[in-house]
Amino acid sequence: MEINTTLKFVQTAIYSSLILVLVSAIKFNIIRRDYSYFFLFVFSILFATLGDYILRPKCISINNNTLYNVYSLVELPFCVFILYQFHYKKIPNIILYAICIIYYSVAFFEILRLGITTSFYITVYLASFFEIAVCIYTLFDLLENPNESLIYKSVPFWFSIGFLFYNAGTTFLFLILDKLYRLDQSYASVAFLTLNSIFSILFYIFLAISILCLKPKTLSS
Amino acid sequence: MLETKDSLLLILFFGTSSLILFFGGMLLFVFKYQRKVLLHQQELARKEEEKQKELLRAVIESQENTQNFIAKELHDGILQEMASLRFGTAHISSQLKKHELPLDSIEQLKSDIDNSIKNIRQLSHSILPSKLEEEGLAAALKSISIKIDSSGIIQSLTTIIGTPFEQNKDIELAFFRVAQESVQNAIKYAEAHNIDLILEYTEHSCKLSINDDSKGYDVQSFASNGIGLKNMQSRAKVIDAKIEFSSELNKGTKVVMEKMYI
Repeated sequence: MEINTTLKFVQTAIYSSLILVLVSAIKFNIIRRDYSYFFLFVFSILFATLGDYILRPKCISINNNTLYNVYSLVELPFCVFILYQFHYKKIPNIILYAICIIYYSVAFFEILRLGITTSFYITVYLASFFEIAVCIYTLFDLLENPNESLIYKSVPFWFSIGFLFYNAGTTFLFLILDKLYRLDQSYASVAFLTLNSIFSILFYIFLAISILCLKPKTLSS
Repeated sequence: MLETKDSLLLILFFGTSSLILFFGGMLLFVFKYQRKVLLHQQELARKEEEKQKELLRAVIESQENTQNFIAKELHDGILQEMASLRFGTAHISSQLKKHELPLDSIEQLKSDIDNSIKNIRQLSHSILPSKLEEEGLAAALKSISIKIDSSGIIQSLTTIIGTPFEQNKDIELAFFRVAQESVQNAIKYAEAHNIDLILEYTEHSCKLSINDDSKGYDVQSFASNGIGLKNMQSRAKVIDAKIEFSSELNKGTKVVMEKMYI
């Protein structure tokens, strides 16, 4: 694939993230009424801006592993926290705490072992695994205990779908990226940027839909 | 070297595609399952509504049976007794006349008995609408207007639009009872001076409108507390008709009931 095509994907991903930020801003009137909405808003902005920074063309040639590591460290807890806020009040907190504790312990040992400037591969795989598990659980739990009469009108549904498709597109990419990078650096960069951009666009779209599903909370809830 | 790169790309391609396919399939399953659940819920709601309708139908039938019983008792029992009483007073009156005694008190009694007979007959006919049984809804509604008009205090007119067609007896009775209840409300609570009944027949519907120039009432509070309006709603629900109430203070009241046949 040509670098120009890849850059077009990157550019589209950046524009989509801007749309996500715009949608969040439009919904701000609702978001500010409740702290869980506020966290979804912050998450969206953070995800979009950090994602943009990583995807910026000038990052192709520089080592942005540190930024990636920070990104990985906030991704899973945010995903779990937001799903908990919008749907997870029914399951024991201890499971969610356990996920976060296991995740941060592994991340901590990886930092000790490799340092902050090297990619945390195990942490990244673990994040993908936990995210997929949590999202699948959410989807099936939503079917059994829907908050809305129509599942596709709820925030956790689109949020989970977004995470599932993002992970579907990037899990195997992260798995082989290091080896590919060692074999063919420019090819690895192009493959990474293209795939990550495509699935980021999808993710931003699903996240924007989930933000559009936000409704003001009633006094009784 | 190339082989390793190819195998890595192969892993990437198959791994990513299978995950996407798996999640896509799952999404499809979620949508299908949701659709199934929704259909099931709709079916349950429909059954529940049907059950409620059956219950309402039973209540209304029991009400009608009681009313019929009272009307028959009034007509065949009390009315006959009153008639025999009237005959007795006529006999006493002729005896008094024969002995040239004053007739004032007995004449007054005769007149009171006549009034009572008339009132009981009217009550019996309003409870058991024989006009409805014999001549149909249009004639029965016209009889309501004639009765109101004859009072000389309130003016009423029944207009029939379109060609009347025969409907199920329960449906005609429901329309008639709604008209009776609306007229009663307009007279009793809202001080109406004009009450118009419009019965409109089209190819696929029968619509009854009752308009009056009463002082009006708050439909929301009346609908939640008033037994009359609830009765009308129940009767409409049982025959699958639509009923709407609109009223504004000092601007009159309008009740519209429509049964569609599509």
